[in-house]
Amino acid sequence: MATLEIVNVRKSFGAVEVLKGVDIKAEDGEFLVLVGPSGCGKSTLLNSIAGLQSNDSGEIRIDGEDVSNLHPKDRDIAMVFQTYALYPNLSVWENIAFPLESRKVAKKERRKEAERVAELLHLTDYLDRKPRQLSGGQRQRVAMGRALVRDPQVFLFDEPLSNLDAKLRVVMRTEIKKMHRTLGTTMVYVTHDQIEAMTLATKIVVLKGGEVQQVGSPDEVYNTPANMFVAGFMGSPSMNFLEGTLRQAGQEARMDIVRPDGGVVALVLPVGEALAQEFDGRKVIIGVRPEAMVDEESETKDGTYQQIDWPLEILEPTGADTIAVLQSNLEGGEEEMVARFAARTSARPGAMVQLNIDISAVVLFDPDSEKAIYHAAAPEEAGKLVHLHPARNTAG
Amino acid sequence: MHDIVLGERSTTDRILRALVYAILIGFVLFYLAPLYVMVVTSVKSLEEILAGGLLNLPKKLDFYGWDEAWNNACVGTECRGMAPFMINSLIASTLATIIPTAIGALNGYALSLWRFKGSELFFGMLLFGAFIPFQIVLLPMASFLGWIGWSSSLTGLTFTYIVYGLPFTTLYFRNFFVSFPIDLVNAAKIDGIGYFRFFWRVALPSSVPIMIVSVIWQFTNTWNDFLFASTMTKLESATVMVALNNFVEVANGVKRYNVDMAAAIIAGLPTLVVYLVAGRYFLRGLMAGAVKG
Ligand SMILES: Nc1ncnc2c1ncn2[C@@H]1O[C@H](COP(=O)(O)OP(=O)(O)OP(=O)(O)O)[C@@H](O)[C@H]1O
Ligand SMILES: [Mg+2]
Repeated sequence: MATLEIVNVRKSFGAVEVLKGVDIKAEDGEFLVLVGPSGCGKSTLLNSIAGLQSNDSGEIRIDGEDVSNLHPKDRDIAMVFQTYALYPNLSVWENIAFPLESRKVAKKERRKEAERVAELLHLTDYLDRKPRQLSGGQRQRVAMGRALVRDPQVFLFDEPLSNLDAKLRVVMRTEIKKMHRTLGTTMVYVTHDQIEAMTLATKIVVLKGGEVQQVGSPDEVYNTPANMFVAGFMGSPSMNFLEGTLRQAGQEARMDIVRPDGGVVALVLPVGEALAQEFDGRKVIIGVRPEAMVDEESETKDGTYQQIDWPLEILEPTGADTIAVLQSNLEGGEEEMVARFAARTSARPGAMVQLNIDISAVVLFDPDSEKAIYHAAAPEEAGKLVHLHPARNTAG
Repeated sequence: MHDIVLGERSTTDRILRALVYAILIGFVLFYLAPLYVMVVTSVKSLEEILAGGLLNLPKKLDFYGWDEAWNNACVGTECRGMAPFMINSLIASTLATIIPTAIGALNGYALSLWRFKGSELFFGMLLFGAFIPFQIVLLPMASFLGWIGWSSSLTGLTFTYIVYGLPFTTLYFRNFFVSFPIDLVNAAKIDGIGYFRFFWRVALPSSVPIMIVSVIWQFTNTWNDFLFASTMTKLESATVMVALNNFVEVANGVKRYNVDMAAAIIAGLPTLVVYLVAGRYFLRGLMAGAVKG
């Protein structure tokens, strides 16, 4: 059990700076998920924590102790690799127990330990097989077994599920979550799958281009994204963006939105006086999640919904509900919007449809900085975001 | 190999195929003819050989040639047969196979999976060693061996074979391990598995195909070597290739073709055995290198 601190870590490969001063703190027993698009530096950061590469500057602290100059084996961490990294010539049990071999554990004892771990992972019947005789999911479990046998201070996972098919991924996701609950060990988990991040994490770190975009609980990252990148990256289908002009109206603000067809619709947002004043007459971008953009047949809470008319393009029934595809007014109408309609919607493609927008779940962004200026889900911070630095508003 | 469905073949395809087979069979016959002549000649009596009919099967099997070659063939004035020279060759080639293969494996492993500062340069220099023509090093090597007291001895010859085998075996193993997943090494580092334990338990057992390539390469090259062997040995330390040359040369009067042929076959047999035993793996190893290296 340990805390993990990453303090201003920088790393370049040649002229390319891959980690640009990363700061993260994980509490004891935390399930920290690093999420971000391909190439944003997730594996690089994980390798830094593991000590597989040295940092240019910054510190890695485990339980308060700076381990930056320790060999990987002395950091008391275990890592599960994306490729599983199983030793092809060793049997399953030897793979699992291999870390104990260098700790001078007797063979009998090692076998017993492997059996214990194998039982947790439902691998008991495969102990004497070679990795190539296993399915993808079984190999993945062997890789986890090798980490589990050690009882380390921190577990590191580098996209451990990305080579599995969708169904198995869901199963293993649950297994990992259970494992974390049972062990209570600090874990750092890398993925580019935002659903994995949402379901597993106690704390999510969103990375982009080697910079931390936001640190927060799944709920915080989802409902109060720090900027447009985080808002668009987390959630599937992703958040819809619409451009409009803000006009102050006392404590509130009216947002005028020009539709792709030229018509104008308006939303009234309770943004508070300070923000309304500051952005009076300026362009802003409103972010609305698909589930906060519904049709008349959907169930809506009173009071928080406002209606706008918008041309509907395509309907895609999924059974449980209907995905409605509309045109956004961003970038001259090139961007798409997705709304979640009722399964038996009366809306017709090609015609105008009345959209019910849940005002209590929207986010406003400054189009220049792309940073959030207003979170409807956290009205108490209204007006503060613009002045406080919004990028790391939920850090810590 | 899986049997794949070939479907219907066109006429041109069939003709081309027939042509390819015809050419291949032609080459095979051309290649095997000398071997056939050697084998049949070695079991004919001298009269029968001199009567002509190179390609005929022997009228009567006569093992005089084999007996003579193994037990009585002469080098210079000594007529002890081939056995002592076979033993010399076996000692030299076995040591010159095992030692460079073992060191090459360790070298290649270090140069690919546990790189250090300057390891690429180091490898480049080793590679250079593989391209030096042997004629260039012959004299310096001989005088060096003389200087350390190993001239004209089997020890000196074996030493030379070992040294000149190293660049090749290192190259083989390095190119094999270079395609080894680096994550395995990283996992080992994190789990506290050291350099030698990983080598012994994971890297080496995985490298059997390239090990066989290395063994065949070293064994056949040193066994068949004539250049070093003829310059660096004297009568009692001569290898079988040098001895074979002398058997054939010293014979005065009538050339005893059956003895010569039998001696040549005997001299070539060990490499044949190595090929037959390891050939299956040899191909597999070469393929692995070709696709991944
Ligand atoms: N050894 C290296 N030498 C040079 N560049 C590297 C090296 N390792 C990584 N990079 C670069 O650093 C960037 C980040 O790589 P990294 O592997 O950390 O991405 P990632 O976030 O893990 O992506 P993915 O989700 O695809 O695994 C990439 O642009 C990559 O090209
Ligand atoms: Mg990665």
